[in-house]
Amino acid sequence: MSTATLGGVVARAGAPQALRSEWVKFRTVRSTVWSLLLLAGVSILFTSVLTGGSSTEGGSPGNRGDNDIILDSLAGIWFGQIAAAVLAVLAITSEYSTRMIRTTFAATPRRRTVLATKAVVVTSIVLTVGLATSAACFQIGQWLLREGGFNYEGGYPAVTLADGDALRAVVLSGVYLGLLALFSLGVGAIVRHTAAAITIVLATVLAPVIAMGFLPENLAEPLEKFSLMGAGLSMQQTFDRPDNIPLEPAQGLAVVASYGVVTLLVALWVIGRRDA
Amino acid sequence: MSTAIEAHDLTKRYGRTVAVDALSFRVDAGRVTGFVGPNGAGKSTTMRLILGLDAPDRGHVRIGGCRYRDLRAPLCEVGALLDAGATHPGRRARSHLLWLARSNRLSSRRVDEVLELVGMADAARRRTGGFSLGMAQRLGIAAAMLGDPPILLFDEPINGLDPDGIRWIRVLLRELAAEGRAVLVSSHLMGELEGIADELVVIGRGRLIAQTGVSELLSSRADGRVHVRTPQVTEVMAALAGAGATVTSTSSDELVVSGLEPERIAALVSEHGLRLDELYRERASLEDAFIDLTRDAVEYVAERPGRQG
Repeated sequence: MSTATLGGVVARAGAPQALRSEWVKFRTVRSTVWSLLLLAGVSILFTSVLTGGSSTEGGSPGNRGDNDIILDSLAGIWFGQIAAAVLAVLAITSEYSTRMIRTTFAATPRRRTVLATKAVVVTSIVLTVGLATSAACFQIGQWLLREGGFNYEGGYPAVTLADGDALRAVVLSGVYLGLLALFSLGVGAIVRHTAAAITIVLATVLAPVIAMGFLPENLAEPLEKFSLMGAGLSMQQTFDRPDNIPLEPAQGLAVVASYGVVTLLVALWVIGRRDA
Repeated sequence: MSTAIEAHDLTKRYGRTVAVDALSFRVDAGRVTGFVGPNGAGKSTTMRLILGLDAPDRGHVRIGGCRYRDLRAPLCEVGALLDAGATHPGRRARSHLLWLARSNRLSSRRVDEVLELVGMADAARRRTGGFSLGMAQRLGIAAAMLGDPPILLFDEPINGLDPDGIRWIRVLLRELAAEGRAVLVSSHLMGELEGIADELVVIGRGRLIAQTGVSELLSSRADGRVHVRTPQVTEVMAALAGAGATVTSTSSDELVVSGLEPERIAALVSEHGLRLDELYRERASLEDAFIDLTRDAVEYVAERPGRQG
């Protein structure tokens, strides 16, 4: 076959091309913008409601209160995360539901390249917006908490992003959202069906949290440690409390990363093996 | 004439259903090859096998000698319209072509060119969800033409188009073949391909029934019958039979003659001083030829009516 050239550039369908193609796909549907706005908006809204509604009294500069105000200010993330999950699922299942996936695979026969580049695009955008969102939640949350009495006089020295623990919690909250997107994309690629994929992702995120409330402690503890949200929460912890998830932030990160990476590896394995 | 697509012994099962069964055929450059068979015969499955979307259980397809997945820039080798509706309804027409162009390192200028080519430049900014079937087909053809490929596959491109659209696509397919491209067009209606196809690949129940040139098919079938209309049926019959023709009378003023050319018939009639109102050679239609060709498959049509796919 002749080497095709159009406009002087040698055409080819490799990974750099797939990456650019996936980026065009991602930015040219309205659901992307809406989902990202929802991710930021819902997170900030719930952080505002939760931190704006809490108050403290009775503390003093010499008597540190026991609330984890960094974790509290990031609580909105747990509501906004649903938008990140839906966005990532749709990035792949909408191609199956419209049968556009066949056009994609005909243009780029290396299917693993397609899925891997899609994962890069979706994860990096959600990570970026997630970092901005968690930083905004932190700033707004800290301000509202100070107003509610969580201040120096009330036993809570001011924290800023220059504070190591605060920065770590904010960054890892953004990383959590990126990894959740990776996990959701993987589930979408495996089940290829929007409603089924969203159900599986939401069940994975929410069911352990609901179940924890009903289970005795010996069963609840592994659930806390090895569930997505439990591990995610441990990444935000900055203060030693009795109800903390018994994981170090790095361990929590490892658990959350495993969900994303293992699911994507399974998806990469199956996508090359079945008919499109 | 070079072979663009070669299918050898292709076999594909879905569960217990054999969709394509030991199918071998070829598609040549510079010709429109009609891919014909009833609904459910395996045409769409075969198209997916050609594009490497489904993996055959046996056999293989070669695109200019290569496996599809080894093509460096598939859009520049094979353009395909499988399903015009297969676009994201919220994405604009131009954006749809742009992601496709980027996947093979084609320029955005080429996107505008193909939009112009299919007469969709005005609709470039519209979201595809609002497109009529005709517009969706045009966008699908624009997508197939992006890489200016020497091989084109169109799955039922005429289905559901209005008369203008049908005329447009017929002309386009002929032009593409005249430019030297290999064009494979599927249809479940042989009549749709009349005047378009040079070559036919006829399948039924996933099996090859015939691969034949259209002109060979028509000439092999037309046995040279000539229709004669005259008020003097008996006299003309006698005159032509006397010259060695086989003549049958089909109505009070019409005869069907075999064994004589029209020129000879006209000369004989005037030699005898008889009157001739009309004289024409019977032409086999592609539809009739198809029915002959697929007589064995008729059983299948009667057996399983209305099967879709």
